[in-house]
Amino acid sequence: MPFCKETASQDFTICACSSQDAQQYVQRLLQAVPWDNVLIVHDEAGGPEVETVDARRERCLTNFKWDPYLNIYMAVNPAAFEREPLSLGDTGEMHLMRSFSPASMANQHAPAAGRPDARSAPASAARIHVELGSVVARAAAFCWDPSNWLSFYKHVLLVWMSHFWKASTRFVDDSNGMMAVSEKKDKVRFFSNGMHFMHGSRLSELCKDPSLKEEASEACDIVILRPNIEHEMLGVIMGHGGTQELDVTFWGQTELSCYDNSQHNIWGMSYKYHERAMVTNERNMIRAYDVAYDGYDCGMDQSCVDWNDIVSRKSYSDSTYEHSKPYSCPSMLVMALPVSLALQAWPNLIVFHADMNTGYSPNSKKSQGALPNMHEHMVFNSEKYPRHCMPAMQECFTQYMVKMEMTQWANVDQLNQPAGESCVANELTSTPMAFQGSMRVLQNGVLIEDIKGSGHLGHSYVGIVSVGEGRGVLNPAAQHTMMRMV
Amino acid sequence: MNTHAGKPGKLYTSDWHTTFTEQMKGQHASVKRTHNVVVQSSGTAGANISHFPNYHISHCHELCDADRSRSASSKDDSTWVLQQLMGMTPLSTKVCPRMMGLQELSSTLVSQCAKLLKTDNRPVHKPTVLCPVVRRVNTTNNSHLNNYDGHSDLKEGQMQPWVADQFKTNLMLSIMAHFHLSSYVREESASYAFVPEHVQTMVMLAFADVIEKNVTQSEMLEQALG
Repeated sequence: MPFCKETASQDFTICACSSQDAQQYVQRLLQAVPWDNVLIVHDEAGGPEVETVDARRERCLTNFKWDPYLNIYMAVNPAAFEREPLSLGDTGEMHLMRSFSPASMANQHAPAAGRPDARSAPASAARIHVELGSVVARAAAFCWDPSNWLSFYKHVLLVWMSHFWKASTRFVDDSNGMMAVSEKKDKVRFFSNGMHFMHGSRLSELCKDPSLKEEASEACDIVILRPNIEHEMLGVIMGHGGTQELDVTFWGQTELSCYDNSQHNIWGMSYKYHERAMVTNERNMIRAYDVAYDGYDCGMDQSCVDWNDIVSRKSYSDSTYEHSKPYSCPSMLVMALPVSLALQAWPNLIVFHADMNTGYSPNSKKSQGALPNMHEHMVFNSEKYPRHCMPAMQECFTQYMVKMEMTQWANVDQLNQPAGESCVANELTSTPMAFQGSMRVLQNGVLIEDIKGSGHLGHSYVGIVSVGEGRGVLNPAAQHTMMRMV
Repeated sequence: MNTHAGKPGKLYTSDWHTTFTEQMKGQHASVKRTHNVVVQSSGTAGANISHFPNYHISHCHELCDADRSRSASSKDDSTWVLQQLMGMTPLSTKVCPRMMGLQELSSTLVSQCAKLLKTDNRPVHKPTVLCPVVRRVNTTNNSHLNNYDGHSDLKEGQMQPWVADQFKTNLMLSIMAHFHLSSYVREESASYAFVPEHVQTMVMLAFADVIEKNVTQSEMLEQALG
């Protein structure tokens, strides 16, 4: 920590380690203590990890504390017992240094160690460079140019950071902190150090070798969402044959013209009309939609949205809302969420966004078919489904959605309409509920969990369509079993 | 016969303290280094010392050409001088509280900010949970304390090791907006740390001015930073 004695004022203000009450604490905040009296060693480092009230009382009575206000060591005031942390060590307080003192601004003097000519000059007259000539001109020119703002500001911020948050033991124990010995138990413990960029000139990395368990970084749950699967469905229209069973064909003329073709010596006539078959007798016609699967279009491949690419995110978002065009964007949202503490599988169906109004039906044609326990399907909502979703998980999920600018997935659902209406409008249907997908969990080659919840599509892998049509052979070896497809 | 019976015990830690502070005043390099280590390793990181008077002055001498070989930042002349200026410029009572002003942030964002500055993932080092029983020192009714914003609160219970408030300061948010690895954190922080273009120009011109005038502070710079 660079430190200049000449520029530092000789008095410190400190946060009192002990005080009778709040009033005295405030008084002591204002009371300057001389440089010599500044408390150096805080007794928290020697505190036991856990101690009873009696043990703590005994320790406090048999130990001295430095009182910087009185400049003596003295027994701890029993009144301060109750304010001491019960558990020290790992959970001890760790404040960071604030490195300015308003009180010292008035008596600044120029830094002058070894430079007598500047010793008594006021700070405002201190020089920052000497005999640098063109270097200074270049530095000034750098600052004159507004296009250098980003580079300029980053340098300024880093220097300011070093002013306000000091670090000194950054290189100890591979940047983990400083080692200290407990007075009571002779136990070596590590204490965290100050605020600084721990990684130095290198960026952080998840771990050195992902294949080693001990090198693994913070565990996380990987969630893969596949909200947009587009496929063709067949519909059937049947009508009763006969005279006027379905009603009539309307027609009407629009143009009738007669002409004389003198070249060929004939007369001719042109007749134009419009016609449309209109069904007015609906009881003799049956329209059925979604009667059979007619092939996959898109949305179920292995491509993922690149969360760090705004183009990828934007195209995904736009395509999700665009129902009148074929979907042609990355299929999966892959997210790393905090590890869930629940040791159970998700429900099936799931609501794949954080919230949804109650009373929603997964089938838009069933107005009375709302799920009565909708909240138990909201796997990213910690309030409505606390059994599985932790607040941290919901926060993290929300961050992803904010990044995607799709926090209101329910808007997509507002466009939801029955298949027939969508068919007439030449649009797609969508629902913000999803089947859980298939997942097989193996541990050391042993199957410990097998979830088959793919909904109406059944299992999904290359060649499964022919199986569904009764022409293929179910080949287990061909399944993509290690993924969760939603 | 016990010759030590009437001899009072000597509090040897007092000698440590005296010796240390005397040598500290002597500006001995190794003592200063020790001071840093002791403060840090005491588990408090200087918790008891709320304000280090002018510790932000990190450069004590004028920059001269001979310093070039001792400074890695001299590779670029422009930023070399700029860093020197920043190291010597005193920060006023108007500027500092503004830098240390607090914003309301979500605990998740604070936690992610902390990841930049801490490599281990121990739960106790995450500032996500704050001490539930802390009585704040009422500075609003004590106008004379306003210049002392930044003091710790009066402790009434167990504290968490990382103080989330540090990550909620305007200065830290500016740092996160520019240096954090997560684009999410950068974007979220940037909304709090936005610097309008006219302010950018004003600050840069003020720095150019003091570099040309060869002084560590000026009214123009104070106005730009304030």
